[in-house]
Amino acid sequence: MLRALSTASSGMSAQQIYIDNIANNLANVNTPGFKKTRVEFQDLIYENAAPVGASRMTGSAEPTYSQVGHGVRLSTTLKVFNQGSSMQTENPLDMMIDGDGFFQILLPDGTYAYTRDGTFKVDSDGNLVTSSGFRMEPAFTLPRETKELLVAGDGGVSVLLQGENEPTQLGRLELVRFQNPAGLKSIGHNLYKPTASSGDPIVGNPGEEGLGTINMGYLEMSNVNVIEEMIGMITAQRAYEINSKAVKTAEEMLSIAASMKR
Amino acid sequence: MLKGLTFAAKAMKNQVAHNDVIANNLANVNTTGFKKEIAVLHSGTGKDTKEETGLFTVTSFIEGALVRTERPLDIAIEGKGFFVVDTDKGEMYTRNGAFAKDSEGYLVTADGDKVSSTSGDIQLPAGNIEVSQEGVISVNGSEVGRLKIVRFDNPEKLEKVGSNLFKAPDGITGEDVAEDEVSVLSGYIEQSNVNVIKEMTDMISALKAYEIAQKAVKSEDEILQQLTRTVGRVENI
Repeated sequence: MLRALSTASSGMSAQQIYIDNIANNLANVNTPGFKKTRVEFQDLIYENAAPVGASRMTGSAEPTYSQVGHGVRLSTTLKVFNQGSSMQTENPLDMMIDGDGFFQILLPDGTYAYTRDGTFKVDSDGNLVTSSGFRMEPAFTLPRETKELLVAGDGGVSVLLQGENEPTQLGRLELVRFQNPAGLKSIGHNLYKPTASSGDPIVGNPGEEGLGTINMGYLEMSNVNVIEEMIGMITAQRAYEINSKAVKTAEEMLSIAASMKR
Repeated sequence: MLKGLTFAAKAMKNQVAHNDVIANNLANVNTTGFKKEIAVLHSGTGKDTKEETGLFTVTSFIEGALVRTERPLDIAIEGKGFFVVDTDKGEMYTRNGAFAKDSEGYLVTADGDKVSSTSGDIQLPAGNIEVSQEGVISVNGSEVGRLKIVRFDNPEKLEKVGSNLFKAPDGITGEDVAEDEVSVLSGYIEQSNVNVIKEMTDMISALKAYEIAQKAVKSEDEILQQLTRTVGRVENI
């Protein structure tokens, strides 16, 4: 039947993916450490309707390609790792990475995941864990007598115990960076897993080798920009509508063709 | 049979192809760096049914609007020129500057094809990326390479191969653009240059032209019918 039908339907499904992605970004507008995703589209292959014939039509020797395309497809979803806005919480367990890097999290299956979400908690054994209960790596266990937790900008973790005036060192926090953070895979729970395209994790200390520093009592909020997303939504919705008109036009053409036969 | 029938049928076919071109432009209204196709209908003289009439397309290289993204690896070219991409099918050209780094730090397109500098591939160490107006990429202040940007005298001769890429036909090579003649913007992407209003009005006219051509087929058909029914029949007077 008409090529325009499938071309326009590829356009409609692309705009649908666009909207789906905007919806997910907007749903996570208040998720700490959330990084927005952008969708990128590509045109499909072209049919060279008259690769050289155009020269005969124009009467000149200049070859012009006569190319009819087949529509559009999703090329990639790009994670945008711009720093989110910071929010002061005054909760000593909240940590924000100012700059590049991820916290390293040990999953129950023994593998590691990475996050920018610094809303840490203390579990019943005194371990520093994420909101989902996964342990931070390297592990920190706060003694029972802990009165105050102190995290320095360079990642040094110390505690002030009850009845003592001098803080006790617990160790130093480690951050991880990737050659290509955009290649990380989101697995939910604000966690990322490395992939072949992200490269292997490179472990380091905060404030060194391009890694960010730690701000205690602050949270990095989502980097979703609501206005930007709303504009994207308008664009996607209108593009969807217009592509549906192209489907309708193709349909009308077919009906006109069908009415030729008496 | 009647010449007019062939002409009208051709006109219908041409409008179908015209509509296909419009549908492809509209499907790519949100494709970064997309360049629309303009359908040109070549009219025949009407003397000969074997004459080549039909539709051909010309790519329009009008610049799309630049949109701010604040991602340093989103790079847009202001003015003419193309980024050079090294694919497994040879050197290709693109206006889509939404680049990324791969696992080894090479600057790549969304498909993972390496972007060329004036001296080979571009491998970026970790750190703060900056792209100057001349296309020089630096990481943490030290220069890594300059994006290769080429210009063509007749970009219309480039062949679209999909995936936002253009291929140069044999014998046509791009000309390297000198540092002082180029202006690139980091943190911006170039939107599709499809103008929705233009495409929608074209779509209406394609549909109407199609409808009219169909009417022409119908009236030719009626003439033929008249012919078969009445010619040769002796009327009773």
